Amino acid sequence: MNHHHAMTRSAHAVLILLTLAAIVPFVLLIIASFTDNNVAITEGFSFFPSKWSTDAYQYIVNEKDTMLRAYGITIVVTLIGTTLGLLISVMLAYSLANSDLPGRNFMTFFVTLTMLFNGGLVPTYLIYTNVFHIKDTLAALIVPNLLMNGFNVILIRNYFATGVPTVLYEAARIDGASEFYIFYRIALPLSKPILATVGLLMGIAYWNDWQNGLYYLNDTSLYSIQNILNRINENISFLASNSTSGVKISDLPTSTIRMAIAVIGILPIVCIYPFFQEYFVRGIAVGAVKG
Amino acid sequence: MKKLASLLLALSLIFGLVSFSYAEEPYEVVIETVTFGAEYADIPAIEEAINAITVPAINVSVKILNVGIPEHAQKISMMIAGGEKIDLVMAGLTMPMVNMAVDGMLLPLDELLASQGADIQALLGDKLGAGKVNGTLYAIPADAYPAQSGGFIYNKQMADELGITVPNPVTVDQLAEIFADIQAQKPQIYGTCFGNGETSNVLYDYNLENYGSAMYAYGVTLNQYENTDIVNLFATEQFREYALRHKDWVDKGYVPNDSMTSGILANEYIASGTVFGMTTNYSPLEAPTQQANYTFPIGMAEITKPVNSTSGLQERMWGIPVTCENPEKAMAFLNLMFANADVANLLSNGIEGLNYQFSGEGIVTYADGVDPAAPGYARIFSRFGDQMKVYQWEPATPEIYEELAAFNENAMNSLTLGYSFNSENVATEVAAVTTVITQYLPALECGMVDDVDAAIATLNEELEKAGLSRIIEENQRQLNEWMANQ
Repeated sequence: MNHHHAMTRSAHAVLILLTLAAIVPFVLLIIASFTDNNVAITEGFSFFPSKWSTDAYQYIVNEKDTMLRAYGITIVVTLIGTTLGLLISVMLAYSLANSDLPGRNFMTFFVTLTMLFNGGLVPTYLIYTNVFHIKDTLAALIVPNLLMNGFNVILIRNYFATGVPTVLYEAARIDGASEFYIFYRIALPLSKPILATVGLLMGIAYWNDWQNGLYYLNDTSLYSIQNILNRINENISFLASNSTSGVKISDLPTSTIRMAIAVIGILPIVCIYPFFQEYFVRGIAVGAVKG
Repeated sequence: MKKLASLLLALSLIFGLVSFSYAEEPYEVVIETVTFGAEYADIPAIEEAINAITVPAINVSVKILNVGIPEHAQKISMMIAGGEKIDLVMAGLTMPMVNMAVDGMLLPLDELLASQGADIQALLGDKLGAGKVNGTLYAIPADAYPAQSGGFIYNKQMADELGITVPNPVTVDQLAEIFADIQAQKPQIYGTCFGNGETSNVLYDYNLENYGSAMYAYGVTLNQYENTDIVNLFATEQFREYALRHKDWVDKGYVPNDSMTSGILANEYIASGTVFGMTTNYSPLEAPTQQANYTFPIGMAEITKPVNSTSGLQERMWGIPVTCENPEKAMAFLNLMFANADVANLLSNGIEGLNYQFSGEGIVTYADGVDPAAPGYARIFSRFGDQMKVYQWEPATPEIYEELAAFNENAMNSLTLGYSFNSENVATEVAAVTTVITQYLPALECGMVDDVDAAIATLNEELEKAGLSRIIEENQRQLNEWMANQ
């Protein structure tokens, strides 16, 4: 009994340490964003800065036109991308899970292949800009990556194949249900955990994406919040590692402003995550263990 | 009757041609401006104002493409690979011009320059040599006044408060004395800062030509105005002195010791009043530009002698990508930009009254109602046209044009001016050598090594293994060949 308690306690201690390791950097990030910039430079970032300041957030308020638009674009792109992506992935995965599908092995192989290889940046860029003409459109932030990825499809397929009892499908077929009806009324309601999991993965991927904006946008008015943060960080690191003369750099945001933008960028994800967490654990466990 | 018919036919052809050439649509030249990637709302208005000049003059309209500097290299490479419309690119800033030419991204310009570039030739003369690779012209220097020296920028207000005078020109030993003085009076203030060490400041302390490699991977020529021997910088006595000096300054506490990793730029330290000054480029244009970064008055002093060099010219160059549909028109526009002060000013400063207003003769400041933190247009990294014809910003004074001319006239020409190194044959070695230097230089630069001599010895050993001597040999061979052809 005592032995058991000791085990639990030490397990708790380890988990608390790990949790702290995950949380402390975020706390420091938030404190850093409220630190006075000069104090940050002279004393470095600390948990107890000698002078607090909201200047960094004042800067964001001043730039609210850009920030709000970027935020709006991020939200729209995330919603559209996740909805479409989830829909396509689920339909593909459902078909692949059906053992009666002709050419099923080939198609599964085809999906798996994309997890290992891709076309490379330049060919991909050429196709999207010269064939699909998505440059400088909102689609540029959504369509690349094909709205899905092989890993998610396989994850859902495994869930359909193993997590939903096949007898349910058979029973429905005997009752004369159409394939679409089975998909919509039986498969989907039973696969909420995996939908939530994959939806969250996709949502985070869209929320955090800045590469599409970097490659396919010249028009910076379509920049998402991550693009703006990335641009600021890249500008700073460019200046830190290149001696460029004759350049006025005073308008570049200070380090505390960068922290504040990072806080704004992660806040929604941090808020949403707890609501999905329950599904997340179930979805991954079921999908992966029985896969 | 037959004659009449053929005459009519001929006439109609001629009229057809004439009317056709009149009706020809203006060719749209897409020219890039390299910035921090902020949005500029006034770009359409500026394009319109430029078109009002260029369409009647050379039947060219212009479109300004705003590209952020961090993604510049990748974006331009992909645009050229993808055949997207871009007619004038800024080479050198993020991609060495020689590499762009060797990689087949740029068009040869000799014939275009001869037919369309009379004003460019008149303005740049010999300096055009810096745009040549293996004898073929691939790029036009964007700045006709490229002389630079190494200098020291400092907080003038702090100097006055502490009763410190920074002589101009200044030596590094005098700087060390000043730092000691500051430390004695204000122990919490640092004399200088080396940033994260990724930008080496050796060339602010010694006159040297790096042949366009910021990491000194191509070898260097010391005192390039009287010497053409290419050597390994890290094996020179000058570099040893430099590294020992930085170590000494760190040991004495003149330098914030976490600057290598703190992610804070050297100028941010200065702007916050924690650091007195730092070494930087020096030219008459530099002080007014740098002043804009600080809230207190700054001073500048020269350390090395001003020199015109190929690497200086190659920092900013105009090239015409191979995908350009009408290179004649692109060159004609480039020529007009160098000849016509209005075009150069529109591209450099925007529109008078909207973006800027005059505050002195040839000196401008923000127009009324412009928020300096979010202007409608700003030139950041690019250079457009003849800098003598481009209005300079406050706090420059009207004398700046004379100062700039005098500075460039007095500058010595590097003996290798016009020579550029083609590293194609030693590309593997260059990659290996650059990796080694990137690994070892920042710590030496920031004085963060225990034993300077041992660290330099290790660095040189690694460089030898990576093939630096083969690069230097190849560079010297190309240079000798070039000199023989002069």
